[in-house]
Amino acid sequence: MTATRTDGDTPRTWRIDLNGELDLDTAPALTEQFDELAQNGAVLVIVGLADVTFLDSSGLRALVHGARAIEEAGGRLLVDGASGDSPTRSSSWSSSRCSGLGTHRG
Amino acid sequence: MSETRHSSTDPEVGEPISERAVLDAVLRAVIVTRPNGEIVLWNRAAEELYGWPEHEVLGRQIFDLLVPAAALDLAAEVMSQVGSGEAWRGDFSVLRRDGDTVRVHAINRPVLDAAGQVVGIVGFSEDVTEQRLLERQAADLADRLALALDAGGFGTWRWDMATGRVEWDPSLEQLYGLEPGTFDGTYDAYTALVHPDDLDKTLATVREAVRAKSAYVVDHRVVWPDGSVHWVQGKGRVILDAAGEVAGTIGCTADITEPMRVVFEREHSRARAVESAETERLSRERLQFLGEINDTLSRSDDEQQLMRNVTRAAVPKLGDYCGIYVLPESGGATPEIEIAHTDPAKVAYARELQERFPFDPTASTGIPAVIRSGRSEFHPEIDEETLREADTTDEARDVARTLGLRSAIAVPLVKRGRVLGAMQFVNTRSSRAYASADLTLAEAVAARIASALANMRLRAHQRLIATTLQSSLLPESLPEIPGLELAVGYWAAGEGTEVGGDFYDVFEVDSGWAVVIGDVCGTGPVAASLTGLVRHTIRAAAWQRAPHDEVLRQVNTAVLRSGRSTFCTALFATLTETASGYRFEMVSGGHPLPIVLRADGTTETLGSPGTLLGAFADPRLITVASDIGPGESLVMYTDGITDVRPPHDLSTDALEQIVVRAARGAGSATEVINRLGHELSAILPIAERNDDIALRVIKAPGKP
Repeated sequence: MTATRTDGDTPRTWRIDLNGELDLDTAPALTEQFDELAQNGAVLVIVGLADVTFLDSSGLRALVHGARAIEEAGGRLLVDGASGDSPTRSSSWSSSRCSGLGTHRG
Repeated sequence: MSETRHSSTDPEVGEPISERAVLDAVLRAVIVTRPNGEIVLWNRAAEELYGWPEHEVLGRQIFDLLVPAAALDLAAEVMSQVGSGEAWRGDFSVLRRDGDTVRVHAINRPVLDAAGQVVGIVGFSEDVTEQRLLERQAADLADRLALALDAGGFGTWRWDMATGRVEWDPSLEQLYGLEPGTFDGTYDAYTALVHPDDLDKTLATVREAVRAKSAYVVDHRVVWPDGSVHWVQGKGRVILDAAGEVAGTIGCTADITEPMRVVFEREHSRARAVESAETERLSRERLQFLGEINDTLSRSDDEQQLMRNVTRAAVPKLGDYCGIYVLPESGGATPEIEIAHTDPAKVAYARELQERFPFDPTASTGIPAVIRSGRSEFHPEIDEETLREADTTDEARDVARTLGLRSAIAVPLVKRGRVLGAMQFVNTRSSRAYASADLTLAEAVAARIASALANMRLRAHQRLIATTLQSSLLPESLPEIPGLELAVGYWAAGEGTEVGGDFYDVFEVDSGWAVVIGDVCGTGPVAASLTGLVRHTIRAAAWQRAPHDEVLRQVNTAVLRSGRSTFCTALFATLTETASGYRFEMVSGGHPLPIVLRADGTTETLGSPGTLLGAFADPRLITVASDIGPGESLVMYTDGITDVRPPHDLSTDALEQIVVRAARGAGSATEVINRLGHELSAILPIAERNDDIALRVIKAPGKP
């Protein structure tokens, strides 16, 4: 999995686009990144999931953990491209599960 | 030497013998001079020695004739000494007629008249040139020998067997630590200085040389009076008397302490090198063996397998026989026993013995004692005496003899201070005896096995708890719902060592029936306990007639408050009987939405995905409803079906098609489940999946 981080339009906003499999092996690095952003006082973190081909409970746990941490720091974590609103998705890893996470409507 | 008589007129001889003839017969040169040196007599030997005939020298000065310039002073001194009436003898260099110088030994005596006056000098001389040369050579040789002996640190000796005397030179005394001149020359004084451990060998060597009349060399130690020990090498030969019998020995001795030290050091370091190579080889073998034991342990799935595997791995590497005794986990003093032997017939015999002599936990030695004390027993050498003295039965002794026991090790299997059992390693007469390194290795092996055993039990224990919990969480049987068929499929994830978090439930409520399916994030006892919480929260809320979203809201709160950093998905639905069938009302908390197969063959995904439960304080939960009529089926599932690593993953569309295929023409809900299971296995065998799968099919029979 790769995670590409870009700065947002306003200060302390970031977008992280994930690509590949988010599982037991790759989730810890993502968790660390979320913690770091929370410490840096992130206002908004958008996680792009459109190119994630596999997401298991470890990956989901990382996302939930990130959402909680950033929320506790006073910010928000939104996911993009996960809620099944993209009919071209080849994989149907439970996008429904991510629906609890705030969804970014770009 | 010829004899001459002074009386030349012996009447018995007859014809008188002239004095001149006598003088000419003398082998020495005889010259007579007057005190002033004038030659008056010159015999034949003088003619031969000096080259001058008598008639040419008579009346001439002896100084002019024979004395070289360099010796004139000495000659004058001699003449004056003899002239005064004294004799003189000594070596003298003389000129021959041919100019050569010859070394002579001369005796000059005065010739006296009746009044005692010196009237002449008579000189006797002989050529000693060659003799003096030989003498000098001999002296040189002696000097050189002394130098050589001294330089080589040699001392010499001579032993006279007839007198028993031993002669040592000062150098030899020094080699034996004695002050020069203090060796008393007795044979006993010599043997007293030889190192007692070397004396017999040394004397035997000398005896053999005397017997064989040969030379010999003997290395031995000497103990100096100051107590220090030195090595010497004696090289001797026997001396023979005129009759060819041995008269004694003669030889020389040198100190070889330093060379011996070098030799010993070299031998020692060679021995050390051999020893360390051996140690290295052994430790490599041991590491290798421990590695094999580890492999064996990791291949063992249960205790019986572990016991069988390790005993087979230990034979013959660590013994001709290996037995493992494992106490039952439930308690009790009678262990499970597994044995291995290089000879299969012996295994049968040992089993037979176990039948005849049941395990006696109170025995004072052997495995029972090791298990009781937690301490190893080591019998490096089992011989007849050991057997006789052992505190055991006669039968056991016979057994030991029959099996040909030679060496035995018994070690406890201890983990965290608890004795789990013991192991026994035995070598028979055909193998080597155990060393202490083998005991160490056996203990290391036992430690690993004990550890594996304890872990295996711990895992089994956890699995048992989780399985017990899980099964207690799944309904034992599904209730009958009039007019509906219910079927459930549940496949645990591949490994089977951990219990998954999928759960389902069906129970009666006031309005009809409640149906639940869910998935707790994670596996094992933690997930199982959370599953219990979720299930009971749902039941309690539903029985209190809480609205659908409120039921899951209470679950959300309960999971959040459980303090566990995990979450779950759940789908809560109710089935209420209507005039034409059942009304299906549902809410999803992050759970995959159910698929309904309509009577016209189309499929439909019901509901709206809600928020995961236990993750956020304010979940979004939306309740929807749909009627289920005759001929229609509803499939609820967990994400173990769809969320598989690519390429075995399934899109919702693909799953809907599978549902259509499975449900079309299926006679019952159970058949639909079976067909679905079959389809899923075709995509990826259940055993290879990492996640549980729970499937629930509700089928309304009949035609629309």
